[in-house]
Amino acid sequence: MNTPLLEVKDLQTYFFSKHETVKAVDGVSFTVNEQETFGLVGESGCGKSMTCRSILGLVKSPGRVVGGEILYKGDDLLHKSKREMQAIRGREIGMIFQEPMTALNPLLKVKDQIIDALDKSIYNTAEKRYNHALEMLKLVGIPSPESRLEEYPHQFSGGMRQRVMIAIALCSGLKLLLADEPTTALDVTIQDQVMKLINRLRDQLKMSVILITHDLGVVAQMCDRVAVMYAGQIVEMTDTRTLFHMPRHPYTYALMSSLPGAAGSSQKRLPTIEGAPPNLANLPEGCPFAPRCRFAQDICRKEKPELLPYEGDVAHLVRCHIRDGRTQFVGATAKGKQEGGAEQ
Amino acid sequence: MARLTYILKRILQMIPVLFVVIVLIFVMIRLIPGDPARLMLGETAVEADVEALREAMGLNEPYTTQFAIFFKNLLHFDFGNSLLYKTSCIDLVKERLPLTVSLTVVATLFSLLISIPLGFVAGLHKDKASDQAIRISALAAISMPTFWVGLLLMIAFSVKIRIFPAGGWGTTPLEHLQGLILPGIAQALMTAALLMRNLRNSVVDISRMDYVDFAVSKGVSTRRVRSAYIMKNSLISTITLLSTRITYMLGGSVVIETVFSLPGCGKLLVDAIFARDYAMVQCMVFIFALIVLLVSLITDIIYSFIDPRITL
Amino acid sequence: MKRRTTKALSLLLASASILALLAGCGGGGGTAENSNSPAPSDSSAPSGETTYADTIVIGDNTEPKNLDPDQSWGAAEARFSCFVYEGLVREDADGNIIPLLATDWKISEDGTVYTFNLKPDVKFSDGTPVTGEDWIWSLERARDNPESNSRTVASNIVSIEAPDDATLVITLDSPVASFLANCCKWNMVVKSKAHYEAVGAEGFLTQPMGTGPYAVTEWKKGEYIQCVANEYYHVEGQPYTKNLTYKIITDDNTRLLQLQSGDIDIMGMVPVNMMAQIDSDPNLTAAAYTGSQIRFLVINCADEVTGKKEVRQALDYATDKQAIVDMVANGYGKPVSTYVSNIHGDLHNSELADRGPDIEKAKELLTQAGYPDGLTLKINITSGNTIYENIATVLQSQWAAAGISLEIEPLESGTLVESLGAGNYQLTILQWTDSTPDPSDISAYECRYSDSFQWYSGVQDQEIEDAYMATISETDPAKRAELFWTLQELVYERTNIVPLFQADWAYGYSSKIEGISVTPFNKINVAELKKAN
Repeated sequence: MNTPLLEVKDLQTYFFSKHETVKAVDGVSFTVNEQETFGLVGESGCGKSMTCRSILGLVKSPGRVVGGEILYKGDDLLHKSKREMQAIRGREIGMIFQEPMTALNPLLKVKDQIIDALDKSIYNTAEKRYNHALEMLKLVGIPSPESRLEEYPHQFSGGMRQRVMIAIALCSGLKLLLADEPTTALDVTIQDQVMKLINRLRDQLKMSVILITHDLGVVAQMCDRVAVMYAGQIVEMTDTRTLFHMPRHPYTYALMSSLPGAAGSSQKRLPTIEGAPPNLANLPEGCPFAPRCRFAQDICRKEKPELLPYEGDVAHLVRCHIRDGRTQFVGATAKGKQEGGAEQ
Repeated sequence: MARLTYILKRILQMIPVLFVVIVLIFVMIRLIPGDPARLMLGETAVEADVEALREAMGLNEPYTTQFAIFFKNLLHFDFGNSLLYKTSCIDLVKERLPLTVSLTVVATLFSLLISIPLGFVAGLHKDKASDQAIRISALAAISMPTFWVGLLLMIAFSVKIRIFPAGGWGTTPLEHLQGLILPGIAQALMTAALLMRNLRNSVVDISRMDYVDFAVSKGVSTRRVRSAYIMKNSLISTITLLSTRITYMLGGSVVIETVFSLPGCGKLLVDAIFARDYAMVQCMVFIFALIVLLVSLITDIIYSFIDPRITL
Repeated sequence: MKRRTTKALSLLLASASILALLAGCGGGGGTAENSNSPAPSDSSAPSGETTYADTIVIGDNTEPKNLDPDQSWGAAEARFSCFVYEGLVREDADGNIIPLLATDWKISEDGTVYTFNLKPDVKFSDGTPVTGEDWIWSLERARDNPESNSRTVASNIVSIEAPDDATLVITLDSPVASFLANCCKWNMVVKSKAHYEAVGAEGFLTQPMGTGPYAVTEWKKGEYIQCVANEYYHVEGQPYTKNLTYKIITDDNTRLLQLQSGDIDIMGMVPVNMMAQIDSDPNLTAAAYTGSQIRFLVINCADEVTGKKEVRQALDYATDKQAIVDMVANGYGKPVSTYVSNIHGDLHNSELADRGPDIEKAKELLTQAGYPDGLTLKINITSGNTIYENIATVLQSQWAAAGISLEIEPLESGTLVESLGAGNYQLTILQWTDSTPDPSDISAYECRYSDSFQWYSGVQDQEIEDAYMATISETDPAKRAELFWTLQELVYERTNIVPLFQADWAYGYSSKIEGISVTPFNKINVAELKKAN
């Protein structure tokens, strides 16, 4: 098909301190095509936010991108100068944040915050700038935009603030929007509205979206393709439908099962994933999920698995010794109960 | 309109505070040992004379009577006559207050001039050479006693190189300004250092805020991010500190006034306390309390202009 | 970032240039002509002759509280008032009484009537002549004004009469041997009654009107008192210098800086440790004048420990007064053994000698008193007074050799005075400066229990009190001297005070100053001051 809009190859972002090195993003590769919504799923600390920040060059010390390539429209962003990056940010690639209150400058009017993001060479008069700001507020569906423009962030409700943030992010047109958990801080009804808005804008502006979330419901609603991350790496990547119907990685599998009302779950108690998230500074020798994996075998604890196509299907990648066919899947193991659920 | 109502409300609120201040100072100055009549006539004076003077000054009346008289006069803004100088306290203070206030204003300006640029540079370049250098200088500035700095400045710029007068503040406004520059700098140093530190830490914290990242991610120019996103927000917490320091500089002016022979209020108050000049102490403490309350009110008003989240 | 630094730098640069500009305007610091005192320019003269400046600037450390001689005054007021006010007589540089506004006088046989012949044609500085009425009003006011702390010198006056403008007759209620000396006191001066009536009591506090060499034209509180020569001054040709500025500079270091930079010409109240610095400056002269200021160790005789005479005398034996003079006064002074200063001539008992340093004797006395192993004493001194602190420290180390451990406790002056009055102390250090050329003042303080508990001793020694009372009315000088010698012996024996040392008045002045002299009461003879150009 066409060249993908974004190609991330083996991205590594580490945080350095006196005593340890935290490998927040440890060899992540994926592509995002035009006009597609790509989901990044995982629990807190798995590296999804850092991946996006690395794309935009927002990683602050003591963190640093130490390796890999980020090819946007064929150009490696990691080799671009500061000025070139500034041109890309906000015009080509943009980001919206999880908590809209802290993402907006409390001391500036909404109007000014939108105008700040505009390309001054295109919108070269005050009138043009004002009108466009007005347009943006209308676009995101904020009522009485004229008066709202003159207001400050604290005068908006949570959902409205998120819309404002979206308006600001998109006001110069974007090709790729990085949305970092945009609905997590909102209540459910508003969540739905904002999700629909993002979808609508994506179609209208012909954008791609990388959607970071830990909410599988959102993934189901919004994403075309999904990558599941764990301990700084992608452990499974495929299209949404396949992910839900045929999760192959034990982690993905466990995530699905812990959804209330997951297909086939008959237990009264919601299953959880035992154990704690891994310490990214001190990862175990083999597969990072092994300590918590009910299917773990000896090889899992000794060797790190690679991200490989599942049964030859390049559109479905899994990082697991058991699932890639090298070892036999042994049905019920010593750990945990026998699960119903996803068929084999 | 709302602001006006707020200001009026605050001014009314000052009244009970000032009342408490007055009662406290009235009682405290009389509780400490030391008799104004004796101190006035000197340690070599005769007991009989001291007693006669006490009587004449009305110091033998019961406290309640003394307070009643004092309070009644207070309502006319009459603080009575200074026991030491024998003239109206208010007149004496009125003569000296402009200098102390001017000195504080000059010192405030200097401290802002020094602390704001340095605080930003240090905050934006956290842990780099410039940050370290600025923080060490701040530490040095805090460690140096004000009077010593004052004297050094005087030696350097009044005696060795004759730029500024060695003390005093002249008669014309221009001379006033000249006379206040060295003392202003000396007075400003500690405040500048404290403000600088506070601002630096503010800048460091604010630089990590999401809205700074968001602005950068939108492609906003570094200059604009620094001014409208970082600087503006950092200054807010510093304003509170500045307000505290202003009241401190007002009250602590006696050292600088002594070193530079400036006829201000600081020395007036200190002398009044040592001489147990009740009337003068009461008058000056009242006026200082009033100024402190006003500075606090002005600070709050400034806040309300700068921070839209604050409603009065 | 570059832009911000540049902006900040340019702001700093701009401010610095503004400062420089400000500094440039008006000439800034420098010579006496233009720095912060309204001094007119120098006069010039043809070369070859010495010309003199028309302004002299004196720098003092304390501002007078007011300029009304009948208020509570101290040394600061007295130092200035002699520029403006004069009395019948005054003291000279040696402490002798010499005529001033009176040319000569007669004292009646019984010592109660003083008849003064007044100098003719004396005028106040506003040109009005001094009348008998002015004298009467002035001296009655000195005696009667309740706010004055010097009324005792006039308290014996029964009546004052002026039969004509050239004669003044003062009648006392009893013979007071020190009366003539009392007339040197700062309140026994002639003030203009008409002026008082014109400006009122409050105006009189800041607008004096006297017959002295200078008149006050402007008093800028906290900064300076500007004076101009009294054109009606009764001594032809004086004062030599047209303008006198009395600048108040509280901080000693600042005052010295101003002397060094020429902003002031004469610096008074020089801390002795600065004298060497002044001396080494080729443009300045350091001079010390004999003073009447004596510092005393004052002892509470009602205290259980210090109430014992042996203990008190032991302290005297353990003290090396010369060492104190050297270390505390940098040699600007001399040890004294009796409380009457030697400026009082025959009345000073020159036979009494310093007891110390004699550590053995001190220990012996302490053993006698019941402290063979030494003891601990406490001394309270006014906090912030460096000289007292230094004296206490020296005493502490000197007395340690005799087994006396001295605790030094500074107290704020108001609190200290109250403690002394209540008898809550063992030892303290105080000073006395005579203000009349007669020891009656200091003797009254030491000997009259009702005045001061006999210098805070707390125990009334009747013998001393009676001995003092006898000196009051003894008009025969030889007999009076004998009585004073006896009195001093009694005080010496009692040792409720230990006179330590008499300090000189330390001055620094520009080497261009001529004709300067200072009386033992620290008054500068401003009328004869000149400053060469």
